[in-house]
Amino acid sequence: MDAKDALIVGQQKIIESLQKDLASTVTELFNLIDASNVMNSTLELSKLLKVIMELAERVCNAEASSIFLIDEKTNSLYFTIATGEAGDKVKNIVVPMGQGIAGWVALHGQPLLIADAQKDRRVYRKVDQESGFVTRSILCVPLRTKEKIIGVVQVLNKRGRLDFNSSDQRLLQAMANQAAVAIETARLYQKSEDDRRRIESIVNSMGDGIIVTNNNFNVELLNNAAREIFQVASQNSDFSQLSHIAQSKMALVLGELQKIDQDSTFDIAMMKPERLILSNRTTMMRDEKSSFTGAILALRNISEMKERERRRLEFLSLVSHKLQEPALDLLSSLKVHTNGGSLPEDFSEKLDVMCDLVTNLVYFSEIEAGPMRITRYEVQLVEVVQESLTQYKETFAKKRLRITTELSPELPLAHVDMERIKVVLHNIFDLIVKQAPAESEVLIKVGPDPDNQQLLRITLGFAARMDPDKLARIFDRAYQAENYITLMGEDEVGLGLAFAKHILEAHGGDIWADATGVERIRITATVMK
Amino acid sequence: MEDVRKISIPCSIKSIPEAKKFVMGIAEEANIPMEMGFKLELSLDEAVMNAIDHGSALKDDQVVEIACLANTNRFIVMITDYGGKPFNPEYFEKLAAKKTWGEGGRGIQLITSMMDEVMYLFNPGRSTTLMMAMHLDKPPEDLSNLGPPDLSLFGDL
Repeated sequence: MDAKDALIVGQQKIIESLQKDLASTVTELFNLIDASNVMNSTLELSKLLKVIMELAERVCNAEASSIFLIDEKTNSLYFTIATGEAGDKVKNIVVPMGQGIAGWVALHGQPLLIADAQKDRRVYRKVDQESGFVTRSILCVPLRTKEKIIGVVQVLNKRGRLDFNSSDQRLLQAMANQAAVAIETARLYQKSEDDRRRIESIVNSMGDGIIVTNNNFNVELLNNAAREIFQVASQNSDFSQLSHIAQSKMALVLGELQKIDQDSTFDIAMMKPERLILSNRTTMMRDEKSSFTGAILALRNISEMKERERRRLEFLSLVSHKLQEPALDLLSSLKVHTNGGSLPEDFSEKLDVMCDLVTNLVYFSEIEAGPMRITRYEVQLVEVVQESLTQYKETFAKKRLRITTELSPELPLAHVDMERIKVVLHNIFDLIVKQAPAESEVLIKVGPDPDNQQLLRITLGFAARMDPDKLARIFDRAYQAENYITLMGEDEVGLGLAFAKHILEAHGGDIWADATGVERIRITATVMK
Repeated sequence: MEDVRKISIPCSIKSIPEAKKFVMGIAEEANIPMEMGFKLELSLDEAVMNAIDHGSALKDDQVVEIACLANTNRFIVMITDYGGKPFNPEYFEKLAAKKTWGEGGRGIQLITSMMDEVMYLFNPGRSTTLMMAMHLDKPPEDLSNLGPPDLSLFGDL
């Protein structure tokens, strides 16, 4: 062979060597791509670790492998999973940080390649002793994320009685870098799943019903109590159907949620077929940019509390109404006797107090019961006022009050509960008789409301001196109810005007009082036509 | 999916006929049996009247909204007023059976006896919604216990 041939042979060898290296590199690359794909295929940590082990053994042609993860609480390493024949035996072994090959790599963050494990003092013998596995050679690399080292991965005993080399080390480290990211992702996913399960478990054990929706108000979570309330089968997890009106009463609730743009409360009374009263609290969830992300609805069963309240109110209402008629009859009969001189002189005053008490008891029970149902008739408001004035003629006359009226003759008909409106007028007349000085003038006007075309207005102006604070509270039901007994006899007004307000509100109207000039008061009442 | 049909009426008793025409028209399209239609109409009278009463408040553009849906097994009516006055329907319904004065509560009593499902939703200061539903797939009522008809009403036949 001449020099030229020798050169060609040499070049061919170089080419063959390069081709071999290239083929090896290509295989490495494919292994890494394959590893990346496989590792990204699962978020379950135990499965992922097993996948990493198998890949590590394959790419390094090793007999066994193991992964240690760092337990930051105890500053030690623990086997999460080990493959090979001795795998099961070493699973519970804990390696102190810094000890053994794994401990050293975890502490220093550097890879270690141990060609003869039997002679290396750093090898942690406990593992071999417990497993019976004979470790000849070790390649160990750190599992490193951007922030920290989370553990190590090691392969043991290269097959074919060969030694691990730098190529194995490079490949294992490249794979470990990907594995570390995959492990962190899986851990985060597992943590979020654990959190979700924990929250779900807490929410499910709650006595209150809980509904969680996304930003489109589709139900994402429905706890057991809520399922019971809306009779949703426990196996039904397809909540999309629940938003349809025909599917469930929940549709009404979800519809209500959509109308609310801030945290609030609302009540539900299920009357048939079930009997249930729910007090509900909504919380609107928003992200850091204040964008709406969903709603939480907490439903509390308040049926028992409402039932107790109902019984109390019912008793009060029945007793006060049953008492009213006979008591008033009896008291007026007794008054006749008093006037005839057959009963003590102060008896008349006592009878007035009793009449007042019974009437106020009725007012209280009706106000407490909530909005009033009225029986509407088509009437001329002017006629109702005139009729009431006629009924009060004698009372006004006793105090020599001069009544002047300005009644609009062509008012449109009003749809009102005539008897209730009379009660309003009588209660205002009572105040006038009580507050106005004898022989003073009372001006009563009835006409359209100048501020609202839908309303009719009655104004009553009379002479009276009243503390502004007291005047502001004459329609205040809570204040009057609380102070009725304690203020009795000290110019108290009782619940008469609060009841008048209650009636007018049921008519879509209102009532208020203001001082007009020196020692003169004006009461204004409105009703819808 | 069935369509929910809606109407918005002024909050006034003058609107009751319009509300009834709307709902009963849908009931007729759905071929609701006459007896059920009668019960529905009675319930509707009371429910709309209640909504107008409770919806009467000093607010602009007062309306009562009615939504209606008929499918193969249910006829559903939802009535919403914007008076925002919560009340305890249980209290009124049960008191109505015992009291001797006023008419309050008798409407709720009637609705719960005529309809198969009744539910109220109160949003204080905002709105009140009544949902009432009639089951269309239930068997016809057993009339055999009513006894023979009273023919004397017709005089000598």
